Amino acid sequence: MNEIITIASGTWKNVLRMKVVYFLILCALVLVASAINYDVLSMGLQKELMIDVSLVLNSIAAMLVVISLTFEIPKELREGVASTLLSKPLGRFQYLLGKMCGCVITGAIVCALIAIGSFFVFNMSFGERIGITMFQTHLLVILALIPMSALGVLFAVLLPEVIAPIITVVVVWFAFSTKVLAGVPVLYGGILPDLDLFNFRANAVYQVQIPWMYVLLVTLWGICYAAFALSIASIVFERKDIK
Amino acid sequence: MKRTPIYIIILVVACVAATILSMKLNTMQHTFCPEKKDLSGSPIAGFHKFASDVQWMRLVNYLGSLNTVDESNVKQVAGKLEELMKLDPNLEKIYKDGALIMSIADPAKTVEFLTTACNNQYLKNNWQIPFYAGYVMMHNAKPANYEKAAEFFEMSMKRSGSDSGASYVVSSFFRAKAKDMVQKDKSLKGDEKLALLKVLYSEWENNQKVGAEGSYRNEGANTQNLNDRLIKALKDVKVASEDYKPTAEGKKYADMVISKVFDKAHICSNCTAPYGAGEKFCSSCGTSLPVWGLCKNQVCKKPLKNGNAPFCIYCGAKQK
Repeated sequence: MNEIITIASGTWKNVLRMKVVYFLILCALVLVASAINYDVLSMGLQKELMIDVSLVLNSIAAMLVVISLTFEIPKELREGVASTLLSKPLGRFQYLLGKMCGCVITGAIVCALIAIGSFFVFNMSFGERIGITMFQTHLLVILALIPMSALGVLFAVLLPEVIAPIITVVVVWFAFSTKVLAGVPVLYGGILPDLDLFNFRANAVYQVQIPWMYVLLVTLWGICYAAFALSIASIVFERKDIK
Repeated sequence: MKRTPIYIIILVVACVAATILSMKLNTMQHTFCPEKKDLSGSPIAGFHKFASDVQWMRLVNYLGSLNTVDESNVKQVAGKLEELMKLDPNLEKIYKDGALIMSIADPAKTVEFLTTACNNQYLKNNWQIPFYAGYVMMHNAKPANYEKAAEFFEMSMKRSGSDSGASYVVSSFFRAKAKDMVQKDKSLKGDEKLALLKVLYSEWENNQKVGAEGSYRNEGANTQNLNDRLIKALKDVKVASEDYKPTAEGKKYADMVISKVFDKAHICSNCTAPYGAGEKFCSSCGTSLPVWGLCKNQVCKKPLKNGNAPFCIYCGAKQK
């Protein structure tokens, strides 16, 4: 367990010590705040637009964190950092799990900062309290990091450094549209992820509450899918020749 | 290598568990987010709401560039609105501001959009959308479909409750029913005023059956007093105006309504003006009236206070 935490902390420290991350968060919040100027163009929908923009930017931030992971693992393998780590009493599975957990925690911190900032901006702009649905939808964006990070780890192990981020983005992008396969057992939700299960941006705008049982079950699904993706990644990684 | 079988077991168990959960979650979603199944299947990474926001602003810009929505551009406008509906079917503005823009150029399409909105679960409490649909059916559709319009107004009435606009909705409902009656019943010879009276009386009879006298089917709009509407309709049928000449059939029907609905209300059979106890002639039109509310004492026979006082104020005789 300690080894996993060490690997995870290395990952999140790598990202969170970069000042550019905070600058990007600030930029995101400026963009959220700018939605208030769209009152005329949107014919009075600026409040809905602000809620939606904050969720969109939060999702993009989550995606960027996952992409950073797909760069990091191949880089560590190339530079020999991974072989140094793996020479210690550390299993390859623990290494991958540590990387995934680090990515989830990094993403959670970045997304939480954007969410809190957005709540503050919204409150300042409209003088309204934050609805529970807004909180839930931001929480779901954070929870979506679990399967997304697992996918990031899988492709970082499976594919070369140049292709891995691109394929990760493409897979995550299309993972929101797998609902068309909802009638195909095992393939839908089991092999192919359905990230749309975490997507309730419209609910946040229309204040339609999401049952907490759903939030709990979707988290469980995220963990199951992460276990699935991580198992494949581990099988491949076990057979990989690391210099 | 030794761990590979363990990973395979985890892989299979996780895959099965994820499948079962995703199926359950997919079904669960439809209970609190039913519009998800109607969303556009375009692979836009779940950014449907954001895409709809952008599309909406583009539509506002596009409409600003048009002088009017007519036959030349109505298809483009409808296309853009359809696109928006696929991205965010809950967006009220698509229907209230968007669809109504093309109500003159293409009323059928407008009603189609508004009907979709009427069936939308999230907008189920919105009374304005069915009202607009009824309005378009009645005023813009060619030929007007009053029967369908009345159905929309009825839906609107049920949703509006005690809202400030409810009175106007109820009026529209009765007008649509009356127009529908005129359209179907040739014996009315286009007499909309008589048709309205017939509709109101039929409504009153229905209310009597369900024991909700004076209100519309005992549903929400209790403030919409049916008796007031009936009195106004009676006046319209009985009294001549610039554009209306009372008919014998109309007068006869009105007398029947007065005798049935207002037998204890004491209103003039000619002009429907209310009259008090002891009055022999109408103060508005001079018609002879059946006298009521007199003292039972044969010697006194003076009007009672309010017409129903328990004792006569002139002779003190007990009335019951």
